[in-house]
Amino acid sequence: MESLLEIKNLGITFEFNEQTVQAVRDSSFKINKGECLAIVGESGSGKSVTALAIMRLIRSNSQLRITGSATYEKKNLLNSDESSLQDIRGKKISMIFQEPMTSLNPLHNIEKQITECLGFNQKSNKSKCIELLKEVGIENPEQRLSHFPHQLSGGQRQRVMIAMAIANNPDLLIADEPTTALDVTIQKQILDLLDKLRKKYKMSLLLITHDLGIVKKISDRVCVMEKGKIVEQNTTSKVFNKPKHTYTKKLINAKPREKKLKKKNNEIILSVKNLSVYYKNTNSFFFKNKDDDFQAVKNLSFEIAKGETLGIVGESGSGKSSIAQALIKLIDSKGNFFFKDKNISNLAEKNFRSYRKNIQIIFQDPFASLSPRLTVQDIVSEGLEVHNKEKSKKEMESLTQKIISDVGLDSSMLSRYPHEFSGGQRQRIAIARALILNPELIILDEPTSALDMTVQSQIVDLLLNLQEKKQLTYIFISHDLKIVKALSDKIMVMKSGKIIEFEEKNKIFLKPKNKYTKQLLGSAYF
Amino acid sequence: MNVSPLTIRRLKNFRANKRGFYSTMIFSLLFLVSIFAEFIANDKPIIVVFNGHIHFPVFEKIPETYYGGEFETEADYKDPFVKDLINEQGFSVMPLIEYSYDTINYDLKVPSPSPPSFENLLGTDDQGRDVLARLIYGFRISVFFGLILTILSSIIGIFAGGIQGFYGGKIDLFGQRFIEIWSGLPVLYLLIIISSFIEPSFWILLFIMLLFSWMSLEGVVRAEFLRARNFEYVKAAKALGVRNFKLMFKHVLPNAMVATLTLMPFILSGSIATLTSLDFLGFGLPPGSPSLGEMVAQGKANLQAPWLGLSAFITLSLQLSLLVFIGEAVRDAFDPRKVI
Repeated sequence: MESLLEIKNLGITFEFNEQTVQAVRDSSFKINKGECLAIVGESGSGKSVTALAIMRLIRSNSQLRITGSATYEKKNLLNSDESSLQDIRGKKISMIFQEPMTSLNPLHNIEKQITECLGFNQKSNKSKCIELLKEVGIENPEQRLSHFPHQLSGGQRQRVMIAMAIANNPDLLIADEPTTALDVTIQKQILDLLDKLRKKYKMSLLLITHDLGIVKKISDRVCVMEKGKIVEQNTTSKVFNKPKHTYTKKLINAKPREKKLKKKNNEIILSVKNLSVYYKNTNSFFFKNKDDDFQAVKNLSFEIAKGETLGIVGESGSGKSSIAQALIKLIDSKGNFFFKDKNISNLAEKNFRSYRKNIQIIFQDPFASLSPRLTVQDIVSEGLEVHNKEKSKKEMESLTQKIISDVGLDSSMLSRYPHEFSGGQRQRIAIARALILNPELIILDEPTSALDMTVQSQIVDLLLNLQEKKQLTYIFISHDLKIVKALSDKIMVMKSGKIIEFEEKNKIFLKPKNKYTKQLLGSAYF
Repeated sequence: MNVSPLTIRRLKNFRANKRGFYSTMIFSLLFLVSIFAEFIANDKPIIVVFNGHIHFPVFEKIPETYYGGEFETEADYKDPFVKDLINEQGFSVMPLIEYSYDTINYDLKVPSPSPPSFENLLGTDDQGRDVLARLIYGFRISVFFGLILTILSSIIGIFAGGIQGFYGGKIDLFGQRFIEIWSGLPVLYLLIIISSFIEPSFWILLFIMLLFSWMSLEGVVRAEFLRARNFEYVKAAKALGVRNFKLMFKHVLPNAMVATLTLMPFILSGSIATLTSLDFLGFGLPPGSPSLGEMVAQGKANLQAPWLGLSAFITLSLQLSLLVFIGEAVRDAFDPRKVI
């Protein structure tokens, strides 16, 4: 096969504050015409920087050094001048980014953004735009032209981005984590679209992702990157069936351990009756129209027994997180919920405070959920200061040390600040903070979705161990079916605030009844 | 002491801004010197050893009769008669500049305002008072005024902004409307009216200015709190049962502090400028107080004596530029994107 782009000995070095970080080391690979090459690796392995360097969206300066070559049509992209690059960017090589929310200009309408890549011929541009939008599967393209990005959903925005990228029939499309920010069902649609377009226009696709499921589905060849180095590159089937490098094996085998189902426990720890969450939609301060309020959770009722894990799955906007925040009273809700037969739904904050130590929450983003200005010691022991005031400082310290080793960290780390830790370690700290009060119920709101695959399975392992050891009850909220499958006993499928299906884990996965559940399961790559 | 790496990085950033760093050094030095103004420019000796006793006339009032003079009022140490009396039974050490801000030099050879001479290094003003002494005292009073005003208005501004931002909703809504009305009041006219029926002292002026200056920080702090109250670590602390007050000051405030600290030097220079302009217009500190604004006014009234206007101008511009440079360095220090 004829090669389209050849990258040789690419090296990217960052220098700042007298530190040098080698983001990419001596990497060589090539992309053939019409093929799909996937670069996989954990976050920080240098995947995205490689793509940015090929497009020359980063360039050498005093803090950044790029070495090696990227040959396209006998030209080295890494040292060609701006004007010749301009002819290549967007025309021959184009790129789509991870975050569709921020990669479109919010001030321009769709037509303007797409025609920007086309040129100046006004009349034919409009029809070309409509054609492109049709191509990427946007309904009513004529009307959409005058819409602004905020009027589109995440999936639609990503489609518009793709339309912009293929506007000039490029030879190569670089897709940097194109589906990471999207829901599973939309993920599948976008990937199918990319695959279809690639075949139709005979372009090459460089797909950068951390999700091996996606790689397995659509790529022809795979490069595995670890710490800036390509450790293995081969055809997809070979990489998956006969991985050579230990890191590849680790990535492929990073599957979380599954919870063993046990006998049913009859002690109900939390029961929820007719829970509803409203978000106020007030346009006017004086005139309120109750009908305008957006109902995020609609009359939900469920029960959880002690030691059980309830998994809640659904697309974004289905009301999963609203349930979590309503149960710990971070937002107002209607309806009743009982903790061990006591109605806690209407307690005032003052009376509810003593229940807070029994119900804890762990949030999605470990980078946002730890205060950057407190040491780990302060963060973890904060709950003790609220609920166990009689404890002496020494007792608190020894308790913190015990809990921090329970979550698999070293007690010497207590005096450090959160920014010195990796994502996985931070999530462990967040778990320690929740655990120190010996809660009986922990609500986990997408605790693993910001983490890499290998770290994800470590956290799942930790959660399972802790559950066995301390008889914890979990409410586990996620859109990642793989993790939910590993952790839960029962699974609740939600869509627009309602329960679609609520069943034992095996029944959901083996015999889904509802159409939507089937669709959800069908679009997840395992 | 446990210094966070962030603080170290910020200090490093601060020092990297050379202009700001040296400005801080010079300003601190000037301020330190002016704090001890009584020992540098005074018509009383720093120390008197008389009859075997040691006295500090700066701190105690000693009647002339004590030294064997005739009046029961405080001794006039500049009087050659008193000097002789002291020298008979001991000695005295006069400060570097033998004039206080209100000492009138009656021995001028030329009518006041007199040009610079070895006796009065920067000359005298139109009432025969030493300009250098007045500058030192004036510098001190304006910095003190600015500092106290900045600190108090920051406290009020942070508190008000914090409560508005943290609770949001109706408190925020009504708070904002109140501020809109309050900030619409014409401060200068108000000051002029008030000073026409009460004589404004240092503290009254401070109080009136405080009524309005807290609003400059309030908006920034409110915005920071509005943003931070929905951060996950604030929510996590709330889920732990941490009380609102502690939440505000332990979790939210440290992160809102960046905006506050960055603004502070500018508020400081702003309040100094306001005090000066009030003094210039004659609605500021009571007559006779050493103030830079009054000196600028004298310079304007006595154009034939350029040393008045020039020395006030140079002092003021030096003081305000130093503060602005410090402000820039502080801003750099807190800028997370700043790379040295």
